[in-house]
Amino acid sequence: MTTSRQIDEWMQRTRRYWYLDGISDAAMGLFLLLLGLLFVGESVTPPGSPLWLLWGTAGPLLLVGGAVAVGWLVRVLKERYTYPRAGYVTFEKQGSRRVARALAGFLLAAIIGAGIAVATHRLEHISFLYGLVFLGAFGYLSYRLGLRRYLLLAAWSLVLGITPLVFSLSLDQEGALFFIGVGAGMLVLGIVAWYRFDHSAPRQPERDDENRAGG
Amino acid sequence: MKTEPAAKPVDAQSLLEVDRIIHEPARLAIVAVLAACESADFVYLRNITGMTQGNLSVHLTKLEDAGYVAVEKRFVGKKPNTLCRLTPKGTAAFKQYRAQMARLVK
Repeated sequence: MTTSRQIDEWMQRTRRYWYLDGISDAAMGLFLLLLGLLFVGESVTPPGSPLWLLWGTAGPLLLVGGAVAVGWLVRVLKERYTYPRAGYVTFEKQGSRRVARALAGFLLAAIIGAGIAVATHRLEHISFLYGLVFLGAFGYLSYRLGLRRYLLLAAWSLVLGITPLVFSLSLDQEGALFFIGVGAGMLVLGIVAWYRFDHSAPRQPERDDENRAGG
Repeated sequence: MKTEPAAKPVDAQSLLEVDRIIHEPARLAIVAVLAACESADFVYLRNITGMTQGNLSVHLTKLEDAGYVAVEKRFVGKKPNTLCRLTPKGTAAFKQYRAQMARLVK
């Protein structure tokens, strides 16, 4: 008899399908790298420089445009490389919504927490807060999907969040270190996941499911 | 001397009420996969269940006939693609089946 554990396993394997090829991780990693580079730009720009106008404009543009661009890039790459090999799956209900809600919650908590910390000057090291938030987000993904690379990213985020406690860094430098570190980690692990996927999922024959019996 | 605890009697009525369409392992795998996503195509279902093309077709047809799965035939570029999704009736049947199974094994 099929056990409840087997049913859960089938469902979990399907939920993790979106993440299996590493494309979404690599794209998000690239986005975080760019965010980190923005912090680098801010940290090396002297006060009063006209470059601040550029950073002030680039920040919101990067956040909004980057999110749209990442979504578009992931969709195009999956349709080009993943779906023809391993099949087409869409996620718009149940698990994916809960993950999206959890991530949105973490992001909101991070923004509110950062705002309070900066406004009250209570938290000198903002990256520690970033580290905790990303630890929670990656930890949840690891638990939910059973993918070990998220556990690795959770630990890496905590390390990056704690590191500035040892050194005396400005807020911009902390942001740069954290986002470049997490972005690079996601990019590398995403590429490794893609490499594995590429070698484990051969391309399907041309007219694969054309003649479904009874369909 | 210690005696073995008596085996719990199986609720025969609950066993009779189990949905036979879903209870079959191959169809249960299909339904469980579709319950975890919005839709999945034939290639994905075949890969994850490990069934042959013909076997999967037969089980999908049974689920479609029962009104548990909706099958849509479309083209992705120039390639034909068969997309399957769980219907509301199929979702309800799957939830009920899991609840029944949970009660039976308690």
